[in-house]
Formats: sequence, structure tokens, C-alpha cells
Amino acid sequence: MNSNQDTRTSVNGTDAVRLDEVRKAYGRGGNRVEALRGVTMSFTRASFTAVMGPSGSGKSTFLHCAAGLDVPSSGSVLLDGRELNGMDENQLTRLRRERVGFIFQAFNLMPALNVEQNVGLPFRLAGRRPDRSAVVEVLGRVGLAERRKHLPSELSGGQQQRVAIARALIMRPAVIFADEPTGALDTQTSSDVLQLLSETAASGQTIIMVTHDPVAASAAHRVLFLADGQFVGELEAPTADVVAERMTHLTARQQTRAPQSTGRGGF
Amino acid sequence: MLHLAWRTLRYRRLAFLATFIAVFFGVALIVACGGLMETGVRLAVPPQRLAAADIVVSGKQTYGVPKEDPQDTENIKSVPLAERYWIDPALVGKIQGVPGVERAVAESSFAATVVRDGVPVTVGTASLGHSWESAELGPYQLDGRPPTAAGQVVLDRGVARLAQVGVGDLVDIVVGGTTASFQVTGIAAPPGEVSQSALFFSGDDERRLNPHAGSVAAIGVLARPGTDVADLRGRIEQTLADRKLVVLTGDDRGAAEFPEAVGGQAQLIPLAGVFGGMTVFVAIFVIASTLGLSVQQRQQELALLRSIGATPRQIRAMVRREALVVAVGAAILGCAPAVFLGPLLYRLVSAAGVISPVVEFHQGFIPYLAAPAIGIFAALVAAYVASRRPARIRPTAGIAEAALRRTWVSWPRVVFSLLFFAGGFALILVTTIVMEGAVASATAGPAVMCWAISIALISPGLTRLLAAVLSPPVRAVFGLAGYLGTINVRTRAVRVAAAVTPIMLAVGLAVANFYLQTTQSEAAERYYSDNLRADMVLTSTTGGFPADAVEAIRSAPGVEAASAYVTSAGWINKPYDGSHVESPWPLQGVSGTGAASIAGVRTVAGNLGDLTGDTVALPEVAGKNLNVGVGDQITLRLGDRSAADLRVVALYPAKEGFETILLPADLLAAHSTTGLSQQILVTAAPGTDRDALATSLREKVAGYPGTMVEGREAITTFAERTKTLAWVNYLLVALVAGYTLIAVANTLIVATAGRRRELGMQRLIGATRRQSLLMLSVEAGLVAVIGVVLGTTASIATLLPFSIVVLGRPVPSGPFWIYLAVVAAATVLAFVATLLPGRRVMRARPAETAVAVE
Ligand SMILES: Nc1ncnc2c1ncn2[C@@H]1O[C@H](COP(=O)(O)OP(=O)(O)OP(=O)(O)O)[C@@H](O)[C@H]1O
Ligand SMILES: [Mg+2]
Repeated sequence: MNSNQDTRTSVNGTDAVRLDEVRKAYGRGGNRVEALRGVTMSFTRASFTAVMGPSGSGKSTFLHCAAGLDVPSSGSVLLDGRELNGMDENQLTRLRRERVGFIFQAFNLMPALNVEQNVGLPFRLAGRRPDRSAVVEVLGRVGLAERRKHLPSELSGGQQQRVAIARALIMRPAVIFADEPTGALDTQTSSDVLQLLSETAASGQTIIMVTHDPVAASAAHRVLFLADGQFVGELEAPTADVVAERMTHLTARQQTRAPQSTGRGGF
Repeated sequence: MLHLAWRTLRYRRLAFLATFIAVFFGVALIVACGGLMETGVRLAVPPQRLAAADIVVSGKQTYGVPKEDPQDTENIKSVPLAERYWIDPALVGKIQGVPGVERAVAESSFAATVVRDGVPVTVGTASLGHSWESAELGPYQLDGRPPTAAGQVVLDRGVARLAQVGVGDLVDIVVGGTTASFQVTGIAAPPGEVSQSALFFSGDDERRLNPHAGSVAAIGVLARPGTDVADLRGRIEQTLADRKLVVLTGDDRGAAEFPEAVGGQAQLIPLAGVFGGMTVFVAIFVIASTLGLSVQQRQQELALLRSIGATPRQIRAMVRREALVVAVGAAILGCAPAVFLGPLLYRLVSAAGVISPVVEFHQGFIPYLAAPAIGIFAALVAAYVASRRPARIRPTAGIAEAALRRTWVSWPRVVFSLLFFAGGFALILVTTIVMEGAVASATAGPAVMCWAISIALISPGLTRLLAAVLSPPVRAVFGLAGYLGTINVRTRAVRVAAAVTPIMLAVGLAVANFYLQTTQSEAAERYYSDNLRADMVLTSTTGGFPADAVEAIRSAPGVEAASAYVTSAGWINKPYDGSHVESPWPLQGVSGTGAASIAGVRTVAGNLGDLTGDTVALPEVAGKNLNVGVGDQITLRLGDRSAADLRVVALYPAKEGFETILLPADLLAAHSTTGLSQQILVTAAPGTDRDALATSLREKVAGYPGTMVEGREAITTFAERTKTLAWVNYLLVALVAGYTLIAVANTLIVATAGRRRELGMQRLIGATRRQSLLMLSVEAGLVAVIGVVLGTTASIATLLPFSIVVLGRPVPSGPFWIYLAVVAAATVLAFVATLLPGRRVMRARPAETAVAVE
């Protein structure tokens, strides 16, 4: 599939994802909340980036906007060389299906489908028969080759998460977005998952991961910090200690500020 | 994607059970309605007495009424005649001459009843006398000798057995109200099952006894061996060349024996149509809400699908396919109970008098093909409605925990809701301004539908609104459970509405239809007999009273006035009258001399005392519309198709929509099937006690066996038909309401079972089982109350104006307990269907359910 990558790299040679002055507000009137207040950022191809920030700082919102799951209020997003602005729902959906993989913290799998069917689902949505050997291969990579016929309810949390990763990998998307993929996992399992993501980045795909965990963040090449919906700094080649220290700082700062809603507040 | 739909169905069996059941029972009901419809259309009446006749010629029992222009012979409406149309016996010779005819035999029938110890002996629905000649058409197997001379009779086996008479015995027979003694010369065994008693007389006696002597009911044709019956039929039709005659073969022949069967057709077909339609309508709503619910419960799942690349179209297609798979299975299986439901329904409907039970029930392959198709179509329409929401789910909805819906109403729904509201409003306006009396329900019925659809479309919003209104008192009374329950109902309004909508439909449709009928019946009964002043009513069960009976009754002590009383239906032919096309004018016959004192009306012109001979009295409004006054001549088309030129002798006021035409009783009786008047109305002399009058009348009627002496409520009015229809309506409305409530129960069971995680979580954080159940009870109560309030609103919006039109007061007529029963049924169902699954869910260990993957 490497030949595909050449055709995808057309406009912005090196950036897999690029956000320009992205703003996102939820609600209206007294309930209006500005979750993103002008974020400009870019992610190079084959990079592994962690996004961190205090709770409510806009990480998930950032991820949804970057991935075309949600539409920004203003600003532009370039995903794998495509401008998302102006795309309709069907175009966005097709783009996601072909170029983007997702891993969420929970509720990643269709409960009615078994492991193999869940992994093959993106193929079916694209109207193709799942490539059996690809499914077996990717399940082998996440270490679940023998659990192919099990339902999600018969798997542990970590195993479910690995199935989700397998599903994100199967289409060989340009970018994989992960929102707290290790949030519900123990240390050993999360280090397995992070290992998988690192390998994926090494093989040329771009990973953008939201996390709370400094240890998880230290697996990335770079950490970006968000606070109050704004980009407030970055760290190259992070270590867990430095990341943790930065986070303590940011959290303290956010707590001393008023709630960031422009109206009556958070309910 | 079909694969995904299939997997989901298997995984979420319970969620789709509700849809399955809705389609299953819906299809069963539609097949049964289709069976009723097919029965009405085919009108197969297997011959009984005429079984041996290959072909039967008889009078056409429908009359073509010009719809708009009296000159127009094309644009006519075929309406059943109220009486038998007799045919000319000379036709026998004409038919006899047709090649291929072995023999043509005339058949005539008149009321004749064996009396034993003063009590009529009848086997079956009626007892009729015939000429022995026609026994050949059975053929009846004779044991004994045929009647050849006056005073001889052959009885059919059933009557002979019941009357305990044998060959050679003497037997009393009442014909035309006069009893005479006959000698039994033989006993005849009918050719098969018969539903009426037959008495055979000699030809001379038949001509002497038959009030319609000189005309015959039918002519039976025996074909020469080897003749093709269809060809012969064509030849006979050609020879006769008369559009007022019908030439019948096969299972159509019985119509000649039972002309009333033709009249039932006009009632059965629309009845089946209306209820089939109502079932389809309810099915669409019920399926839409059960599918909507199952979609709601999987919102996270659908959002996940969206985020990994499913387009809105794919989501819609998936929902549609799920519905299709369920509907196809349910629709096919739904045909199985219909095999029994159809005949059962028909038995009930024909027993209620909608159509004569001699009409054979036919539920052929057409209903079995059409009903599943309709059921599947309904499911697809419902799936289309239900799939619009999930397709618009934002892909982030599953991630942000947006498991609770936040949109209560959508614009298209509001727009359609307003349109239907306007439609209902327009229909009600028509009901109050244009429609009158007997036909007001024609627009009031559809109005309920419109209101109901209007409410159903925005029921989530209305549910939330009513829940908000009910919250403070419920919280005050139920404390914590009230607090949680009201919050749940308000934030889950869309899910709750899935149960509220069918309850609203069941209550609204059942209550409105029931009270429309009772109000209609009450009005018909009141206004149709309003113009008659009778204290006592004598009714003959043996075919009618002789002409001199009225005189005899009049001379009884305590009687002020007496009048024969005959009812029929007909049309005004000249001058042209477009007011009564499909439903003919009700005709009432009263005896000329008694007319003035029996008809309790104050004439505005003329004198009812002149109502003798070829005369007629018209309602004032008819006189005005047709521009005729006292002394003018009009032409009336009577119940037996004959035209009568009559002089108008009086005009009288009548309640709008319930007008009747008055004629002399003997004129009307002569044109009725029996040829006699079957009732005598009696008014008491001033100061006479009712009981004393009844006693004196009973003595007087001893000479007329089988006469009943009753109060004025026994007057035959045109309400009879409304009454039988009313009864059937209750039955069918109960069926549709029951069907809806089954769906409600299912929806609630599924909804409650789908809350395993939430209920488990609640118990983990310390709620006791009792607290959780109390919370569910509060929710069930709210669902029931909201559904009942909305349903009641829809029905009141219709009943109120309707009652004002037909009864002149806002309160509809009818027993109040029916309303209470409907409400109670809905409420009990809501509770049971919520609490039973709730208890089951709570029996599992909370830790298990709280983390369960839904
Ligand atoms: N659908 C929504 N409607 C209204 N406000 C929202 C919505 N989603 C997010 N917000 C608000 O936007 C802000 C950013 O939310 P976001 O979910 O992006 O935070 P986060 O950084 O992911 O937090 P966490 O670490 O807790 O997941 C918060 O104040 C949140 O309340
Ligand atoms: Mg988040």
C-alpha cells in the first residue's frame, strides 16, 4: 500500500495533519462554551504525538476537529493534504473510512460482532469484503490471533482495546487518532498498547494520542500541551518526569482561573 | 451490511421482539380484514332450497341511483334494495323455451309458521311457505304424499320433529296473521343443511295464501344432461335481456333465497376496509416507535459506526434492513393465526347482523398475499421514519456520553403535525357546519385519526412538557423515587414517547370510536322515533298482522289510537333529489286513519289525516329543497324497486339529518318483502295505566300467535342498522386497541430490560431494590397518565363538537365505565410491563449488570 502514500502527498508534502486558527464553541447564549480558542498546530508524517492538558482543556474537542468527526466553528483543518472545510458529511465519512483510524477510551467495538468481524468492519463499510489474511495478520500483531471468534463481552478491557487498535490499523490509514487509549488499562497492558502504537508510527503512519498519563506521553516523539482551549507549549523527546512536572504546573494554573465559559458556567 | 443487520438482530433479539410482535399481530388482523372484504366482494351464498337448480333467475337486489344527473345512465350508484324485488311468473315459459333447459320451475315464498299450543314453531331464522312444485329444486325427499288439494301441507323434517307431528296429523299454521288448520300429507327431508324452515302447500293454496301471489321470488332452471351451464346461462341472459334480472350459477344462486345477503355486502366491505386501514395505520405507528426505541438504545453503537466510516445512508439502510428482516419473518408467520382469526371474526360480525350468516366466509390467497405485503410495507415506512434520527447522529455522540437524546422535536415533524392538526380542525369544522345527523360520523371518524397523528408526531415534545407539568406534584408525593422518575422521563422523553404514543393511540381511537357510535345510536333512536307517539308496540314474529288486526286492537279497552307500522327505504325519483343517493330515505308507514294521532308531529302544512291511498307526507326541508307543497305530485321509488306516483298531503318539521318520509302503512306493506305490517303502535287513552293497557292488549292478541307486547322502545327504527354496526365497531375497536396495547407492553418490556446497566449502577451506589422499583413505578405511572391525557384530548376534540351536532349538547352519550375500563387497561399494562422486567433485571447481581456490555 506504500504506493498509495505518494498520491496522497500532494499539497503539504510533510504534514499529515495541520490545524490553522481552529476555534470550536459548544452551546449558545448563556450556555456557550469555547472549547478551542484558536489552535494552530501541525503534525509531520510518521510522527507520534501526545496531546496533554488538564481536564476540560479541550483535548477531545481538538481530536474530534482534527479527525473530521466534528466541524470547527472557524479555522481550517488539513488532513493528509485535504482541506476539511466545505466537505459534506458523506465526503468526511469517506475520508475517515480511508485515511483515519480511531481508538477511543471505551466503547470501541460493536457488541454484536465478534473480534474478527469488528476488525473487518471498515472494509464492509467501504463495500468490500474483508481481506482475511490482512485481518489475521493484524490480529496477530496485537496478539489476539486465537480470540478471533470471541464477542467483545468475552474479552478483558485491554484485549478490547487491542481489537480496537487492530481495527484502526487494518485500513493502513494515514493518521491514527487515539483518545486516552490506555486510560482503562493496567501498566503492563498499557505499555503493550503503546509499544504497538510506536511500531505503527515507525512503519510510516502518523499517531496523535490524547492522554493524561505522563508515562504514556513519554512513549511519543513529542508532547503538546493544551490549556483553556489554547496551545501552551511542547516538549521534544519527553521523559515521564518532565511531562509530569509540566502538567502539575498547567493544572494549578487552570484551577486559579475562572471557569472558561463565557456565561453562567458549567452546568 | 445485511450481514451486520442480521448479526445485530441475533444479538438484540429482545429489542426486535416488539417490532416482530407488532408486525405479526398486525398482519394477522389485516389478513382477517382481507377475508371479510373478500367475503363481501364474492358474496358466495351456497343455495339451500334451490341446490338442485343449475341456474337460478331472480330479481336484481340493487337499484342504480343517478349520482348527479337524473338523465345520466352511466354515472349511477348501485345501492341495495330494502325489500325483495319480485319477478314476473310469465318468465317461466320464456326460459323454458331456451335450448338446453330441461325444466324451469318458479319458486315463491311467504311467511308461514306452524303453531303448537299458541306458540310458533320455527327451526332456523325464519319459517317460509312455498308451493310444492318448487320442492323439486332442492330436491326435497318426500316421505308421504304431496299436497294436492286445499288444506294439505308437507312439513320439512326439522319442523315436523319439533312440532311433534307426523303424516296424517292436523297442524295449525299461521299465514298473514291468520291461523288455519292443515293436514300433514308428508314429511320432506331437505337436500342438505338449511337455515330456514320450509312448509309446502298445494299450488292453489299457495296462490290463496301468498300476499305476493302473481309474482315469484325466483325461477330455478334444471339443465338438460350434458348442457354446459355457463353457455346456458349466457343464452338465458340473452333471451331475458333485462337489466333488472340476474341469472345466477354456482355459489351465487343462494342470493335468490336470501335477498338480504346483498344488503349486508354494502356494510361488510366498508367495515373491513375501515378496520384494515386502521390496523395498517396503527401498525405503522407502533412499528415506528418500537424501531425508534431499538435505535435509541444503540445510539453509542451507531455513533461508533459513523466515526469509523459509515455514511448516514449506510446507517439508514442498516435500520431498514433490520426492519425488513424482522418484518418479513413476522409477516409470514402472522398468516398462521389469521387462519383462525378470520373465520372467528366473521362469525362474530355475522352474528351481530352485519351480514347474513348464509354468506360463506372466503379467505382466499389474496389476503394471504396482500396482508404480508402491507405489513412489510408498513414496517418499511416505519423504518424510514425511525431511521431519520440515527442517520443524523454525530459521530462524536458515542464518545461524548450523549446516550440521552437532546432533541425533542424536529422541524419536519412539527410541520407535519401542524398539517394534520389543521386537517383534523377542518374535518371538525365540516362536521359542525356541513354535516348533520346520521352522516356526521363520516367526518368525525377521520378527524380523530388526524388529531392522533398530529399528537403522535410531536409526542416526545408533548411528553416532556406534560412530564414537566406533572413533576412537582409527583416529587412532592413520592420523594426520592418521584425525583428520579420524573428526571428520567423528562430527559428520556424520546424513549418514553415510544410507549406514550401507542397508549395515546389506543385510548384516543378506542374512546372516540366507541362514543361516536353510542352517541350516534342514541341520536338515531331518539330522532327516528321522535315523530311517533306510541305507548305500546305489538310485534309479530310470524311474518305480520292481517289487515283487520289494527281495527281489532283499536277496540281494545284503554286504547286511544292504533296504527299499523311499516319501515322501508326508498328514493324520491321525481322531482330529482340528490340528497339521498347512497343511503336512501327512511320510509315509515302508518295507517291512514291513525296517522294523525300516532305521528306526534305538528304539521306545518296539510293534514296527516289525509294519509290514505296514494299519498305521502314529507319533511319540511325536503318540500323546500324539491320545491313541492301540499297537493303536488311526486314519484317515489319504493324498497322493492316499484315506482309510485303520490300526492303530498302534509309537510312536517324534523330534526336535521334524521328526516323520514311518511306513507300509508298498507301502501308500504304491499311493497315490502313480507307484504304485511309487522308492528302495530298503540297509544293509551288518557288516564289508562300502562300495565292495564298491556293486559288488555295481551288478551286481544291471543288470536295472533307469536305476537309480542312491548313498550315504545321496541319500535323498529332506522337505528337498528346503526346498532348492529355499533356492536361490531366495539368489537373491532377493541381488537385494534388490544393490538396497540400489546405493542405498548412490548415496548415497555424492551425499554426496561435495556436499562440493565443503569439499574445495576444505581444499586451499586446504594439504591435498594425497593427504591429502584418505586422509581420505575413512578415512571410507569407517568407514561400511563401522559398517554391517557393525550389520548383523551384527541378523543374529546372530536366527541365534543360531534355531540353538539347530533345531540345538541356537548356531552356524548354512552356508559362512562367504558372510558374507565380503557384507561384502567392502559395503566395496568404500563405498570406490569415495566415492573416485571424491572424485577427480573434486579434479580441479577448488580456488579454484573453495571459493567455489562449493552
Ligand atoms: N457536546 C458538548 N456540549 C457542550 N460543551 C461541551 C461539549 N463537549 C465538550 N464540551 C465542553 O468543552 C470543553 C472541552 O471539552 P473536552 O471534552 O474537549 O475536554 P477534555 O480536554 O477532553 O477533557 P477530559 O480530559 O476531561 O476528557 C469542556 O469545558 C466541556 O465542558
Ligand atoms: Mg476528553
